[in-house]
Amino acid sequence: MKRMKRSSGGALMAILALVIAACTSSPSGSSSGSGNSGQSTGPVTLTVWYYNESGPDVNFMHAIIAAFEKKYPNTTIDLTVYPENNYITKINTAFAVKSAPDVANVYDQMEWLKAGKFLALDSYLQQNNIDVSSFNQGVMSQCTLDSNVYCLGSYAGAVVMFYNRSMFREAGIQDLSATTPLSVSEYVQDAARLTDKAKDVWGTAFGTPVTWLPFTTVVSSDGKTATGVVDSPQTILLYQQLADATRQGSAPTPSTMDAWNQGIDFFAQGKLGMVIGTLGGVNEIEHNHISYGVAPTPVPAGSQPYIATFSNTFGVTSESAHPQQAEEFVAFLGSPEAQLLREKMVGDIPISGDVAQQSGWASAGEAAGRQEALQVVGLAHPSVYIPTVWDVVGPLFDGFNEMVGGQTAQSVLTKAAPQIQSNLDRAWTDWNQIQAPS
Amino acid sequence: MRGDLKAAPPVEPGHARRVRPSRRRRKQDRVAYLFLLPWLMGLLFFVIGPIILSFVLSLTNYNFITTTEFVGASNYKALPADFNFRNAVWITFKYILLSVPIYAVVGLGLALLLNLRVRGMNLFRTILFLPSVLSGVAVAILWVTLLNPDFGAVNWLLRHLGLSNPPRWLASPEWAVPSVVLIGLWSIGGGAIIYLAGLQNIPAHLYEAVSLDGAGYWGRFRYVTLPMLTPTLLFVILTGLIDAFQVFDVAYVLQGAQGSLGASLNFYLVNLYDEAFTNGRFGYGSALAWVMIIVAAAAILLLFKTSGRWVYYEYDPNR
Repeated sequence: MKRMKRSSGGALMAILALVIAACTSSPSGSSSGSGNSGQSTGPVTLTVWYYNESGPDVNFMHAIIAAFEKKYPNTTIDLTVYPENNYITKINTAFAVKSAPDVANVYDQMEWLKAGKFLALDSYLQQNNIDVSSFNQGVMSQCTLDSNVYCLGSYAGAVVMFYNRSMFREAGIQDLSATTPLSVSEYVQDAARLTDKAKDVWGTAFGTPVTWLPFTTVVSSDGKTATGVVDSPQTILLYQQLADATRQGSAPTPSTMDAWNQGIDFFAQGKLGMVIGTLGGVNEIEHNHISYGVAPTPVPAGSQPYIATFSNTFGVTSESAHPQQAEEFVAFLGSPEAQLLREKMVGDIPISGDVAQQSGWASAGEAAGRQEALQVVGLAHPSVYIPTVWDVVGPLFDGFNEMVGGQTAQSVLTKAAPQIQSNLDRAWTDWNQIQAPS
Repeated sequence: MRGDLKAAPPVEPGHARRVRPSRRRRKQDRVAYLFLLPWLMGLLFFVIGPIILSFVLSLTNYNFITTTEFVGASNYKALPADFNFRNAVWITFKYILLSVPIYAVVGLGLALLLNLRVRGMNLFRTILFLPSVLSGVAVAILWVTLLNPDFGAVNWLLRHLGLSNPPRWLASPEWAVPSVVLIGLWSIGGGAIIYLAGLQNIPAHLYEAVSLDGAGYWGRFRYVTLPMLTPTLLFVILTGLIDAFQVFDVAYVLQGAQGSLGASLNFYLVNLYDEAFTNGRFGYGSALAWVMIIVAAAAILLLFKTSGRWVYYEYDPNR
């Protein structure tokens, strides 16, 4: 009986010990831990979290890690790649349980910067004479809050308009300017002239307009007001023109083609006169020997150019146990060496205009198109900030589908405006509640 | 064993005598509880704990990155003014109104067909049941292509049948929810099999009796089949209702195919997921979860309460 009691008690203790161990063990065996607990002097392992869905990008990360570990033999990088649609959730939950990595992609989450989840890099950059003034201003605006720099990237990705020079010549249309964007009405007129249904050629292809039109067509310049802007006569006209162009067959409907994923493919096959896509498409277009030009994306008549930009922006989390080594890694990602490696492996434009000019990116393929691409990327500038922007403007995605389906832009945008305003108010309320740690 | 039962004195209700369990029995109980302990701890930490925690969180502004503060009922009070909440409630309600009766009626109709004595019926039953074993995600991806308004097979067929302007299905906010109902119909075989089991449990003598009374096909269905199937009908409606509250995977995949940001398929659980996990509003998301639980429980209770009037149990002693 006693033996039974003892064995029962022992089993109970073992189970409790297992449960406690399971609940308290670190999620990774790395030396990264919570809290800024001082500097390590011996070998260090940095955890790096990243999102990606394409092979070349991941290959670049492995290559840059190998180069970094060669330069800093005492530091080892433990890279984890997440699918993009889970990435924010992963980081948020990691912050919640204080198990964030040392280095992470900042994505477009300015909330993390405001909440002090990432360290400002200014002191490190200053101490190491790293000048980021030549870095693309559009990208850097996503890394900068209250004049402090929180992240760095290796390349300047951008949303641009590619056009087929041969088709333009055949249609009697002049080549486009690399510095002055077309107005939306000029754009849809050109698209109609380029369309040749007999040859299965569309004049253009574009994703939902809110993804490439300036955000000032949705909200006021301070980012706080949507009503009266997204349903203004000017925005209604833009959306109506684009929906009409789609309905008339100058552009494929969103259900015929996902322009963000397939637009470049169709353009590279000579099935599109113009396409709004990302600069990463240059290689595929050149591989298919298309004579192309690059122009800024269309804007409302009389507006300044608007170029949406992105990059692999990495920062050091405030929980990093090895902030110095983490800063070294982030600085390395933004170094000319990393930018040139990125250009070589993925074909992207270096984030620094100076490095891009010196590297010969423009002469690596079709010189005219690439020179224009460099000019277009150089036009990027900080845009109006909207917290959780894609959540806020969500109704415009279904809205454009409704317009293509036959509803007027007037009725759709009038209905969407209060919804977007409601989303916007809540986003700003959440933003204002975020307080940086004292 | 039989002897024990024979020896046991009859116990009248209300007069049960409390007998102190033997030491051997108590020891057996302890061992039993010890073996149950891992499961009980799982229940405590992974079910009861999160339920209590989610209620506590629903009274806070917990959002991963700011200091958590107690906000009382603010999250609940904010719901009516939230467009996404109202939209999600409307979409889910619309889906329940469309799907529950349609699935119940179509499932019953199919089960009646599957109950016919036709050669090769087992093959038909297998074919009909097959779609319901496929993953919801795979089915959703398949139907995104079939329902494509421009080159999908469904609209191609409709155009060939003379409908010049067929619905734009998932690309149209008006047709998006009916499209999901249509997609669900493809997997109706699972519900039909449950009806079929119910049909085959109806005693043949009831049909014989009603036939002797001169009832035709409709009479047999009206006075025997339908009343005898009402317990199955209750089960199918109940599970259909619960499923309708839980629509997530298909909507999430379909919404992704539509650009992932449209609101026309923002079902309640999709909205809850977005608020809690994508937008990081965990306190608000918890409030959304509790509202859904309360509404779903109320709907189920209402269904049970009304079932006394229309569900016929053959051996119900109260009838």
